[in-house]
Amino acid sequence: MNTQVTDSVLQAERRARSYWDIDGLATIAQALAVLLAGVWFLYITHFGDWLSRDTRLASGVVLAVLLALDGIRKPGLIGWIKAKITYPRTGYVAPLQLEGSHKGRRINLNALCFAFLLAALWAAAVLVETPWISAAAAILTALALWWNPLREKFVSFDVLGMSCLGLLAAVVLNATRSALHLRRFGFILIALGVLGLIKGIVTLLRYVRRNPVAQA
Amino acid sequence: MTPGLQELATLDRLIHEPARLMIMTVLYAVPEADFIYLQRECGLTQGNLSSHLAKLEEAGYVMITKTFKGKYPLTICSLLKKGRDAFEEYVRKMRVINGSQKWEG
Repeated sequence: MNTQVTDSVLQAERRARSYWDIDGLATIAQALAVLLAGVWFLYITHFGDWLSRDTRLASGVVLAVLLALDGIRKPGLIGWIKAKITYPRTGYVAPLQLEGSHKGRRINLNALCFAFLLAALWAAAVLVETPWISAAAAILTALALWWNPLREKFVSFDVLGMSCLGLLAAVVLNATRSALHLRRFGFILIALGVLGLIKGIVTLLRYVRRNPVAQA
Repeated sequence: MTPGLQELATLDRLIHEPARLMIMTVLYAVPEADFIYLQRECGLTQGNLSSHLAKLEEAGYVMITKTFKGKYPLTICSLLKKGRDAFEEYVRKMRVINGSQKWEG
């Protein structure tokens, strides 16, 4: 293709891709899922006596899968809310699936290194008793998941999602041996969820203020 | 006449018009988009966008459907196979023209 037109197509594609996050609704949904997961982990450590090890393991795996699926752009409930808030203001564009792009995202070395760093931080945060590691893990993951420049230019979201899934499964498998580890894990998830919720709500409020409903 | 110049004469005039080129570019990049999104992306007025879309629809490049998302009415536009092929052909020709525009000396 002609370079200028190709650039324009890619630019249009990038804008359509980031359009899904323009109103902060997807971020709020993801953050709520993470927050719920964190609360659930605290809950099962608190009432661990009457929950069997298998139940805890199964619930952990289910939560991990839910968290991973949450990263996939599917209209569903968010689409229903967007129909009330976003489409009347700035219009509708079909969400681009990550695998369905004309020029798919490449898994680059930077993204892999970053995902690896996150994995190491999370493992350290759960296993080592040093508070700043937990805070660093939560903040860095929040930045990677919800801070757009990092998300668009540096981190391949699918790589991050897959590594989180693997990591969650590994941590849950290991942590079911210790309520303390599970509780730490829960607190990190709650911190992560709160950070995401703040980001999402601020984005939503700014979006609604800047974009009044379009007049027909 | 050089090959590049000959290609100029065969460019699809329907796509070559700047506003329609913008519309085609956006629609090529996404599965489907509604009227407000296109208007916002292309910076066109309602009337302008309507008339250009009507021409593209008439040529069989674009499909326009009216639907609802919840209670909100949507005018959804998407590129048809014919439009996609025409856009790719247009870009191919532009590349040939660009390739032949190298200055010598």
